Amino acid sequence: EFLEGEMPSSRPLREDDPSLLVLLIDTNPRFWLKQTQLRQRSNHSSSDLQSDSHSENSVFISVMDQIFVFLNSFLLLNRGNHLAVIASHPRESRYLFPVEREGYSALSHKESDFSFASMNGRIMSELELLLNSSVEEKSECRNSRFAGSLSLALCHINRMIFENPNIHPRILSLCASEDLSSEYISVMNCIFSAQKQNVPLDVCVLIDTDSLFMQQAAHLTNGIYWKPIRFEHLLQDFLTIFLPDLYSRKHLILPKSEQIDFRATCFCHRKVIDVGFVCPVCLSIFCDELTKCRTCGTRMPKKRIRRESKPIIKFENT
Amino acid sequence: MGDKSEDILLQINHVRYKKSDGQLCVAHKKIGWIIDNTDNFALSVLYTEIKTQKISPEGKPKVQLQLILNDQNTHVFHFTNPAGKDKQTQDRNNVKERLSQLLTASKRQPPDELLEKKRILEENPQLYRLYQELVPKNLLDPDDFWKEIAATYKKTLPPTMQMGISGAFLADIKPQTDSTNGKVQYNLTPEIMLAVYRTYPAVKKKHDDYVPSRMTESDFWTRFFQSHYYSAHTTSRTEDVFFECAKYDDKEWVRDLAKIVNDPMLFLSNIYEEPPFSVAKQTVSKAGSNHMHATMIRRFNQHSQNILKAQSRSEQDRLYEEMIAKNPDNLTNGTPAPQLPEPKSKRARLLEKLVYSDLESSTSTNTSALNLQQKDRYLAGPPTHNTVEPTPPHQLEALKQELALSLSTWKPSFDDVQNPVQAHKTLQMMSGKCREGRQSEPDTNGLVEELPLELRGELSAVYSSGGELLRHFWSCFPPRTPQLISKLHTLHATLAKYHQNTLRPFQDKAVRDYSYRSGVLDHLVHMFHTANTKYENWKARYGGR
Repeated sequence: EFLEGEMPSSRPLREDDPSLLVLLIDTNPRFWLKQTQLRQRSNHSSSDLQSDSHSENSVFISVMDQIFVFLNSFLLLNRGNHLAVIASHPRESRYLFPVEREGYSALSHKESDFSFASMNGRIMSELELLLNSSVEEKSECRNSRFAGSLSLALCHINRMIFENPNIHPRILSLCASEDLSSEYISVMNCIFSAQKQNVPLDVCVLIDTDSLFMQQAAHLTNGIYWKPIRFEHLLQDFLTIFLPDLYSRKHLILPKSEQIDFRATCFCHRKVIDVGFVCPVCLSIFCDELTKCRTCGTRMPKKRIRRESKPIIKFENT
Repeated sequence: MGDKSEDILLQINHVRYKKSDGQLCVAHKKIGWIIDNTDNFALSVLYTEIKTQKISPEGKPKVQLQLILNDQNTHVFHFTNPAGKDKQTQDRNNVKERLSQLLTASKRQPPDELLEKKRILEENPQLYRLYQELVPKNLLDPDDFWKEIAATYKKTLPPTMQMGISGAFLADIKPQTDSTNGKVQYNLTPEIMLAVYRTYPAVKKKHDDYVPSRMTESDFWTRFFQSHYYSAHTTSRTEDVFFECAKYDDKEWVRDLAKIVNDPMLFLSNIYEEPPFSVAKQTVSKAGSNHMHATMIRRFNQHSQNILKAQSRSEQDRLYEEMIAKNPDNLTNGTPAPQLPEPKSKRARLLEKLVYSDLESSTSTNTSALNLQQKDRYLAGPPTHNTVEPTPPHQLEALKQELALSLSTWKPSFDDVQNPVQAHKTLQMMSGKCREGRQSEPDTNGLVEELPLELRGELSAVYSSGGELLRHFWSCFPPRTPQLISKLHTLHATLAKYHQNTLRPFQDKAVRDYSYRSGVLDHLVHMFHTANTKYENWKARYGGR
């Protein structure tokens, strides 16, 4: 059982241990609406309705349906499984489940009046509230802020571990926006704290390009990074890859991430470099040699640099 | 006049001495008198020689000051200021005051010094012997002696401490009442008088003024006991001796109060305790409610305060306060004000209490500051590219409306959530990907983990021996000496043999016995090939040298 002073999540995994899944849904309106637009265009252009038997026009809602099936299956796997759903939006991040509102208490799946229908309904109504909010959207915020939702998830996990010490937490993030470089430090901090807590961060990326932050997140926390080919048929992927709990993962062969680009970027041009020069005082990285560091003002005489034929730091592309 | 002791502190004109007009000059160490229209002192008296000074009584027409010297000589100065008798009296009083201060200052030193010296000599017989040898025989001046030889001894003397005053000294004066005629008798001893002087410097001043010129001792003390110092009900005679003292005391009290209230370390508003769980705020009875009580309590407090101050007062402070007592409103120029300790800031006082200087580290490293410009370059992550083109706003709005509608009319129906054909395709593709991931890199650990355990040991042995040979081989390059060349040849032969005898069988064994793929030693074989190629190239270029 649980020993005093031991971190709960560092316990060895056992069969039938309950899990806590925190799902982060990216509700980036621009992305989802764009997808709906594309689907409408493709529906109009091709009269092939066999590929899309679902008559739902909105891509978002069809994806949400699939997610609901996934969530219900997760809760069915183990009586002790816990679930939390957080939505991330360019404006804010907020809980979708479990949430207390006037009129009804937070729905816990341990209560007798719990039903999947009510849970799904709750989540949908919360989404409606979020997306219909009349606050003006700023045109610059095109991408959802991931750091905030990740922090919310980690805090929730922290609390749940206190209440149920036996639980094994993990985070699954549905990512539909690109990386925000201004969020880099915050995201990295969240990733490191997830690493410390032994919380795997699984990522399912829906956009066309690979997300560098997400790749690093999955890599550092022993999570899975998955980029589906067509995301209208997400459910199968979810059920195969993300449904098994952490204990079962050891016995499955799950897709491995490809090479992750860990290269640094130079301070002057913000371009990714393999080999660069580093100032020994302030550790800022430059792509070409300088006589004077632009950040701290240290002088680096050319003679000394020429003497050593190799660059000071070599970044190897592993 | 360069010497400080010669600086003239006070100069009074129109002073007659021995029937001639002149000026009286009061300096640091002596008093002198110059005849008018001359430059040098006709009379000059050191304070050490003066025993006392006396002034002529009030009623006399002449205003005079008399100096009595130690050898019983007297000098009488007659103040003849043409402006009038008042001015003369004023002049004389100024002189008298100044003189009394300076006299006390100078008088205090010699006795102490002599006593001190005597004590030192008594305590240290060696020093005494030295003294006896040198000084009486005129080999060394006594001043020099004390300066050089005894300087160290002097320093080690502990400071002399004065005995404190009892807090209840006034109360201990038990008056005896004669029940017959209601008279009260007080027995006064010199100790009591000294205690009073030390506690109340104002009273001392008054005593010096009034006794013995204006009233007798007994009269003075009777008045004292009748005054506010001793009785609760003051007789409100305005011209009483001690009324000025009362004024001075008030001022002093205000000053002390300000000092305490402004002390940042004291938190005075917290002195009234509220018992816990008290619901209603109890009306706290303050001390100032009853006026009589207030004045009484204030006098008591002031008395205690003065007793405490008497103990810790320094010489200068005493003189200063005596002067203030006499003339509370104007200070004569030239008196050095005592150095009051500057009110230290709260922070400094806290630091004093927290920090022990001997516990601090004695080494101080010289660090130079690091000035960074453009710090945000550290914070920005790798650049991201936004490939999503912005949708035009009107389309966005329309789509938003649609989404809102769909959300509100959403009903869960999960029958058609997944297309089975598509799902099957996705599954196949995923399995393929997983399998690929397994096989993509032949020389990673994934391969080795699939080896049976028995072979793993052999594999590591093969690797280590092969690696060792290769290391020796590569260390021969570039072969500059004949030994290296010969070594190179032998190593090459060894490698070839090793390849033939060890590697090949191992690989064959793995394939044959364990039905393993033949890629298990690919990496090692590759290294051997590289070595071989290098050798061939070298031989071709430099051939057989």
